[in-house]
Amino acid sequence: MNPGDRWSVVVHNDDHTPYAVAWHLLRTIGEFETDTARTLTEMIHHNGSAGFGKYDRARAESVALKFVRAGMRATVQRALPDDGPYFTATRVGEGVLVEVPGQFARAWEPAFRMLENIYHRNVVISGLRFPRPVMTRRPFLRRMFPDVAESRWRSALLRRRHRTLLADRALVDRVRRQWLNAESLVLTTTEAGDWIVVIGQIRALHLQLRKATALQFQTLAHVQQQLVAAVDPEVVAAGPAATEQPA
Amino acid sequence: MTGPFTAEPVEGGVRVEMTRWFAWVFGRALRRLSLSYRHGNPLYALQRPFRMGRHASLLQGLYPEVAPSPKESKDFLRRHRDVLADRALLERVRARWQGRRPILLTHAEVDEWIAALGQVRLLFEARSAPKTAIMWTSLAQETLVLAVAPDTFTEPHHQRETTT
Repeated sequence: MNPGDRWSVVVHNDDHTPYAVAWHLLRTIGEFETDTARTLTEMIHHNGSAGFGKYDRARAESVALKFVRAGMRATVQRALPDDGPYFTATRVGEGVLVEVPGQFARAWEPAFRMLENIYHRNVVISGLRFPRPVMTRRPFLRRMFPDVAESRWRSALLRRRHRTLLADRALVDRVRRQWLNAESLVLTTTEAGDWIVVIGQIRALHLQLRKATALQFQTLAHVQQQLVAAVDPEVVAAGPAATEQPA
Repeated sequence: MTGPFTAEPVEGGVRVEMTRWFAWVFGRALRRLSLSYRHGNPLYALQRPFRMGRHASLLQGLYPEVAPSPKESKDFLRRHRDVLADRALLERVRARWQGRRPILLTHAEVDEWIAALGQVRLLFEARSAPKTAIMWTSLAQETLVLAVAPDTFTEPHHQRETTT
């Protein structure tokens, strides 16, 4: 472990901790202002978790420990590097300028590749969550897109009819190629829409993975949110309070 | 008193009132948790497969996922065992809980009560206690927070939301 590494604390949602208690603990333990604590509580409530802080390992553990001791679930995760924003998307004329640093792009490339491989017919997928660590493409798609119609039967029919659209390898490949060369790239709004879709699929994929971390979900949510804000700023401005960039 | 557990802000702290039944039930739970934090002391009737747990496995039952992996979770619990299984905290809270009335708490004591009630809730969850017991514990925690910050949560849906 590198002694210079920075760590974040991630507080998770649970079924019993009241909203007000989570807010109070974030204020007293995390030492946040009232409004920031409320924003983080909203994030926990809606996204399932919220990460904050950049501490050394000991300090991060001590903060997490105080949450755990009060009955909440909190974990420590390695924080992302401090050298500026890791993903930005801004509106430029009729397009969207995305800036993905090379290191960040390469770190996420395996996720694109995994998604692409999974969309092969008869592929075997491993490293999944309990109770099935290994499964084939068909049940996997069922888990990734579980309720696409009002009944399980209709959901299965819909998945079968639109299998090629749901498991669109060409789309994933196209976005992956752009992603890897997006140090500074202008996308059309249609292409930005494709990015939002593929990032959403990667998020659905991570929901099934045993080793997925809360920080990964937050990062993906942040990337999607940045893209949506660039494609349609009015929708984001009218919606609930924008989530912070995960620590 | 409008419920079995109430808390209202007073000068410099919070005044707590509870029914005798509530004080008895939760006083007993605090005592049980405090006893179980004694190293080597067995705790009976946990949900399977932890029929009888000792100190270490009790903490695993209470705090199953405190790190991304089970191994890191175990290491975390081992490193911070003394802070997590803090009998002194529970005994302090229990002494006030069952002590003289009226109970006037400072804000620091309120934070200790919130932490102790959180641990009692985890114990109830680990032992598959009735949902009402878990609910009352959450409600007591929330009541204390609303007494500490009375003007913060004016929207009813935030006050009575059972999850974070």
